[in-house]
Amino acid sequence: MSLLTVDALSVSFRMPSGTVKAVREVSFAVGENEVVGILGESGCGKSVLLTALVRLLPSNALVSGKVFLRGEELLTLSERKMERLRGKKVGFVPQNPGTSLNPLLRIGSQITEAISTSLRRSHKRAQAMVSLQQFGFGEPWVIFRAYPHMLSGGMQQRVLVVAGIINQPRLVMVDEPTKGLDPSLRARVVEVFQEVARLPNTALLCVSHDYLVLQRLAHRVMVMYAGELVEIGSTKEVFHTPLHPYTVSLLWALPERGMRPIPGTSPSLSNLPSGCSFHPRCFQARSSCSVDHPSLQRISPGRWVRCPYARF
Amino acid sequence: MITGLVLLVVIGGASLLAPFLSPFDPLEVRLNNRFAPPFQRPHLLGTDALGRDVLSRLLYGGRLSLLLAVLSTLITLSVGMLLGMLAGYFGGWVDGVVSFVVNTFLGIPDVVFTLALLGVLRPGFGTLLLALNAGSWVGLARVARGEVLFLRESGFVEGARAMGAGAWYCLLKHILPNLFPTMGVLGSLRFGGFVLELAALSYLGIGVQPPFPDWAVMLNDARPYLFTHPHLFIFPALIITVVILGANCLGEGLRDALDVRFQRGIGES
Amino acid sequence: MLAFERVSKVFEKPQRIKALEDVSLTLRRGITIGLVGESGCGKSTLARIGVGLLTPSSGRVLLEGRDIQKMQPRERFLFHRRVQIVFQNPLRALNPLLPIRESLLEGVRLHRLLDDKGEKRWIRELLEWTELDPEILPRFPHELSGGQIQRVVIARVLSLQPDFLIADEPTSALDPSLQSSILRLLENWQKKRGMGLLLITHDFAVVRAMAQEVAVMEKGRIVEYGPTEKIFAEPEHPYTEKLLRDSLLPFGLMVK
Repeated sequence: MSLLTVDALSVSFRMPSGTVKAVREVSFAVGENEVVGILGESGCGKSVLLTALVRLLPSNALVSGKVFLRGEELLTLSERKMERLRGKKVGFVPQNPGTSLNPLLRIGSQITEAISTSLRRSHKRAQAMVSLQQFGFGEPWVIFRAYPHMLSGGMQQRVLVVAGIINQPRLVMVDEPTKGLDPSLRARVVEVFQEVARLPNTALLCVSHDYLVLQRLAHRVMVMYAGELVEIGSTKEVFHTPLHPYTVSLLWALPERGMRPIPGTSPSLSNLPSGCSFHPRCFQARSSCSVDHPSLQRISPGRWVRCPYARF
Repeated sequence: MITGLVLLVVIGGASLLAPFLSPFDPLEVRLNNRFAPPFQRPHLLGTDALGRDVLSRLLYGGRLSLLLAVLSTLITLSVGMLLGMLAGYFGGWVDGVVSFVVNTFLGIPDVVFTLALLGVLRPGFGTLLLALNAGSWVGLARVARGEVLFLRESGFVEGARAMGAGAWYCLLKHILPNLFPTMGVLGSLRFGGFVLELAALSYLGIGVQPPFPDWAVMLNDARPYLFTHPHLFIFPALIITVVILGANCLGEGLRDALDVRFQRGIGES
Repeated sequence: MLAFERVSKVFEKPQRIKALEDVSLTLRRGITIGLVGESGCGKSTLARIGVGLLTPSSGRVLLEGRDIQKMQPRERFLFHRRVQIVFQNPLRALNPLLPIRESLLEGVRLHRLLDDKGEKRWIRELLEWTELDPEILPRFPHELSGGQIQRVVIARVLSLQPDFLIADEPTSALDPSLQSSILRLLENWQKKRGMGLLLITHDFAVVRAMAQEVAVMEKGRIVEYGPTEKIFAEPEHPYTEKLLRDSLLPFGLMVK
């Protein structure tokens, strides 16, 4: 049995401007000790997906589908039971450090507060210090006593990571851990997550637009576009032999692979294109692409593509 | 917000048009018709201890206090914004001087200062204006200065400077218009504050002087008859409350409306 | 030529910080120089000094040999037209009260470069260049996406047709596809107008794709400088090596 199973999860928001379909029928599984990466850009719904899994969506969200954590159905759990899961069995490291840290509390207390075991305060402190040091803080005692506004954005991000993994939960979900960080910090963060992934019985679900991070961390990668998964495979498969035109275009856009921009802009989630969501920007679109909405097709075990004309 | 605006416009309009709307002369004393009860013709809101028509007095009552409050708000806003802008943008000694004055005034309790001024100078329009404004610009200046400090570092201000724009260009074209939203909110709330302050002073007898039918003066006049003829107290009190309520609604409504403008949508997903 | 000559900058408040020390760099037209370094190494300070927003504590900035600090107001005004800057993605990159059209024309109007008809034509050209839809012209900044805003900011700056552009991490917080289109934009513009570009970034892949020469900055000093390919093939300074290692780039996988 896999650790996490997501079955046809859909999330939409009813807004005055229309219905925003942020996540559309997403299904996947994460095994014990596995690291799964979700590759996608802004506006593809990846953050909403993570937030839906921990049930921290705003009240105007409409959710359908099923989510199982070791057999236990998450979406129908009572809020109290869900609270016990969050932070202990499931760790969540959100994207926006500015709004996730309490500006009135010192960093130290925010981290120790997240520690769920009933240890003495001095032990919790020590644990927090060790974690802080692991994540590249050279003088953890300074950070411990500091307030969030004294830290740069990158440092706040790392503090959030520490708080999210300090209980060594079975499943850690991370949203853009390296956004805005310069290469050295990014390398540091990657190293630590590699260590986290090596811990026994820990699975990692990492969402990022940075393929270098996912390449180092993930065993499997899923590419997300306009609320759907468009390609799934092992990390090597997806990055060395991408199949879906979006994945191909995304890799071509990288400066180290030619820096070829993708024409057009990502579609508005309240006004999706007809047929295949990517067709207006696709270099190999045919006439049928604007009519038929393709489904995920299995190419080989664990390898899926949402494009009937994907090159082999 | 609309509620506030409507309330204020209606009352303001009524005050302005009082000479045309008022059925009687507010100062006319009719000792043969004292304490007429309200909701009866011809005195729709009754008459007071000297037989004067309450409705007419209410209509005229706001003219002086509203005028003073509006003028005070404008003066306070202008002075506060100007000094705040200069201090915030130029920094250095300008900021030093302005901040020193601001901090000094902040140390003096508002009420004491106002009462002292009124005690020394003779009551009159000019004196009241001075008394209300002397200390009130300070708070606004401080807020304005803070906003300016923040705006100065914005991308579009730095961008303008990098294009060669001078200080006054940046101040007038970029910083000042962006101050208006916050100042507008504060101004509305301040307006309500002024009305209240003036009413308190007039009630105590050191503000607007009788026989001018100011609302607070009417309140003071009605004091001895609070239990025998409550309508003399209730109507002016009600009007004052409505005005302040309207100002607050307007201020809070403005703030809510402007918040939306400056926030980015749902955020990236 | 835009030259930094032994520029140093020390900040006194709130603490004494030596942001830049003895930095010398020359920007020539038609060439892109990449400036790499970690956050806080002084790159942004150098950028601001380069466009005259900050004054150096010692050293000079020279445009065609003339010290910008010693320029007369009119010359200095012209300097601001010829040397421009794009910031990282700051808070409020555009005035929230102005429609996009006004923001785009600000530079041109400030320097009185065009008449009404010229403005209309110029706006159309600018929008085409930056791949922006004309329908955004009457809109306000809060209605635009992050990528659109960055494009508008660049268009605004390019509207002055500067000879030198300092781009301070113009794409750091953006998605890969957006990053590539904006960088291509800058590159095409440079080729078309022969602009000198100082591209400040912490991404080595970007540097390799865009810059002919690279300067590596550590804690306010330039520790290595040279042609891009040489820096990648044989970095000399240990800090450069560290940065290259940290960039996680799979070397050998650079397809042009």
